[in-house]
Amino acid sequence: MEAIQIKNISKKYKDVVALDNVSFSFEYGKIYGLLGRNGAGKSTLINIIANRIFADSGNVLIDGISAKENIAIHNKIFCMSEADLYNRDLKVKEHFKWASRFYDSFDSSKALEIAKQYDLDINKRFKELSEGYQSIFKLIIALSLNVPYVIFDEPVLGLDANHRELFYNLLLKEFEAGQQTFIIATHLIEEVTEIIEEVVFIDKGKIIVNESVETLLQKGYSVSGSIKEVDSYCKGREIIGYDELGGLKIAYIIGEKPAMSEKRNLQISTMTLQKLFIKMTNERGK
Amino acid sequence: MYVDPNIEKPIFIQIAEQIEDSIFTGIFPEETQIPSTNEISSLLNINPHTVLKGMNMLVDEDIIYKKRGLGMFVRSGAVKKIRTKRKNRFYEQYVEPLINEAEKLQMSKQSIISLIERGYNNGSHTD
Amino acid sequence: MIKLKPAVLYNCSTKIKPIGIFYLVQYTIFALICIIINICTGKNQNGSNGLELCTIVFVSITGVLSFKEDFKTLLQNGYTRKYIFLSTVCMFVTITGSMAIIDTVIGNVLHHFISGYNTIFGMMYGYDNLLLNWLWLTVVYMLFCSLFYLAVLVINKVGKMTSLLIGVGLVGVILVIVSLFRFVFSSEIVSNIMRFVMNAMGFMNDGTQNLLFPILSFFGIGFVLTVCSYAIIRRTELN
Repeated sequence: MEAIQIKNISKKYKDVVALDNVSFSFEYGKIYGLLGRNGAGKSTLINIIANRIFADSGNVLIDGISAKENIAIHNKIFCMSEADLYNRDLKVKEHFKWASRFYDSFDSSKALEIAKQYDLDINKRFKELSEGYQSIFKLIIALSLNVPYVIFDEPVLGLDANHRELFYNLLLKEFEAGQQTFIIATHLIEEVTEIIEEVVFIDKGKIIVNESVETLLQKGYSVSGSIKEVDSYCKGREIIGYDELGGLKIAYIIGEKPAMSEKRNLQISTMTLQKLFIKMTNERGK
Repeated sequence: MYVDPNIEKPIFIQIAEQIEDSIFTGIFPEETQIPSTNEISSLLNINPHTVLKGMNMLVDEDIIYKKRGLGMFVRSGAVKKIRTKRKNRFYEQYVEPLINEAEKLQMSKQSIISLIERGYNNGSHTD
Repeated sequence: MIKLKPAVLYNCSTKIKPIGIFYLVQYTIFALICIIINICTGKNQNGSNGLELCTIVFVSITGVLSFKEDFKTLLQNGYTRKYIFLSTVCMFVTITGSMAIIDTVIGNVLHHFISGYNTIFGMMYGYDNLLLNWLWLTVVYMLFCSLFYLAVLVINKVGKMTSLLIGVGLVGVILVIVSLFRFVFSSEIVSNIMRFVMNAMGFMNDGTQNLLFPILSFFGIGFVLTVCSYAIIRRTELN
């Protein structure tokens, strides 16, 4: 089921093309990773989905209905944003109170519970919180809302390792508890590899990958060995990048991973999501 | 229980192997319940669909089964089944890589056999 | 209108504190001046008239401050521009209406007890009709509120530089119009225009007053400004 459909979305800022005729879909009931380098177009895309900015052309459909300026749709989706859109003078507990007025599905007791787990002082004003705790505050709101679609834009910015771990844990608990779709936009790929099921790579305003993590990881592999042997192996294959260490060469290849013993002097290994991402978003073949 | 994202094996296979190993060593005895998808997912911070996929592998092999509304249980006879499976895989998992490595090192077949014999003699390995 | 009420409440909640502070400061200063004059001259006199002017300045500032922060917060909470706009207008009506009640009541009380104190409305139209006094004040406050709300929307939309140019352009237009009055128009046209303006303000040709005219005129101008605001906010993006 295609829950969020992005149809031919383009967006330009003066001369810079932020999104270039982007079309793809997020399916219902999955955890997505929306991965891209800084300035790749992640936030622009999220802001368009969230009705905060307008696309120059194209359309976003949520549950089959155009999301632009549709309040019924925006009751079903929540976008936690990296930018501060909250009133800085209000206390955390006042923000919780307003959230429960704005959304019927906001669970105040859950919010207070998570705040306790994070040791967040709810009597502090938003502006008095450290950067990490501002992120935590925004996460708590998003995790306590039982809306079908929740988008996290750089959710763990400024969080220490323990707090990040707790976030992923809470996220999975929410995911198991209800029929929700989560989209995590981040550049910390390694951390979300096991959390996400589907992955979308966005680069220079275009979607370059949109598939399950598992399928994607099976698509690429790396080959290392002597320069000569690696080069001859690479002939006729789709190469996305090289690394060289003295006489050792590593080639990153798109294609089905061959059986181990095919070439004895070459070492063949799978690639991590992060490596695959880095190689695919760098200049090809460099 | 743990998974290592840095090794070659897909996460769901690692999960299946670990559950299987726990059954084999008697941590989860036959006809008892194993942890739920959600418990494992929360413990390891892994997508529950991935965990489920690993469990389904074991369901397909008839090592565990689903009791409606209760959860996953270990099938009686599972330990025996695992033993048979592992024996069958012993060749490709241990012998093949052993020979590969030995050839890289240009070791003769005879020296490998004598090494194996030494292994049995050194330890208290019997059988 | 499922979600309108909490948004209006939110918009009002961010203004309540400033309003309280505003009245506190205004009347403290007013009282101080009265006391000082009393001590110095020994007369029960006051130093100023028409405290509503202060409120006009205040509601203008409210108009300016009703865009940026509230727009962001409401967008974050899933509101569309249409609802944000409606909730802002509702908030304007609530605030200007309430402040007009306060100013009408206090103004008339002050006029009664302090010799020589006049409200703006009283000076122009007398003190006979409290209800129309309130209505008139409300539409005047609304007019300034929506004027400055529109201004801040325009500035946000076109950027500071362009707004400055627009401002300069407006000043130019005003200067041209003034000189038109002095040198180009015949005295007949000028007196016609003056008569029209006086009528619109409720001063009829036969010397009577019609209070519905100014109320309707201010309401009309405020309405046009509000419609312009809506046209702009519909196209406003978060920046």
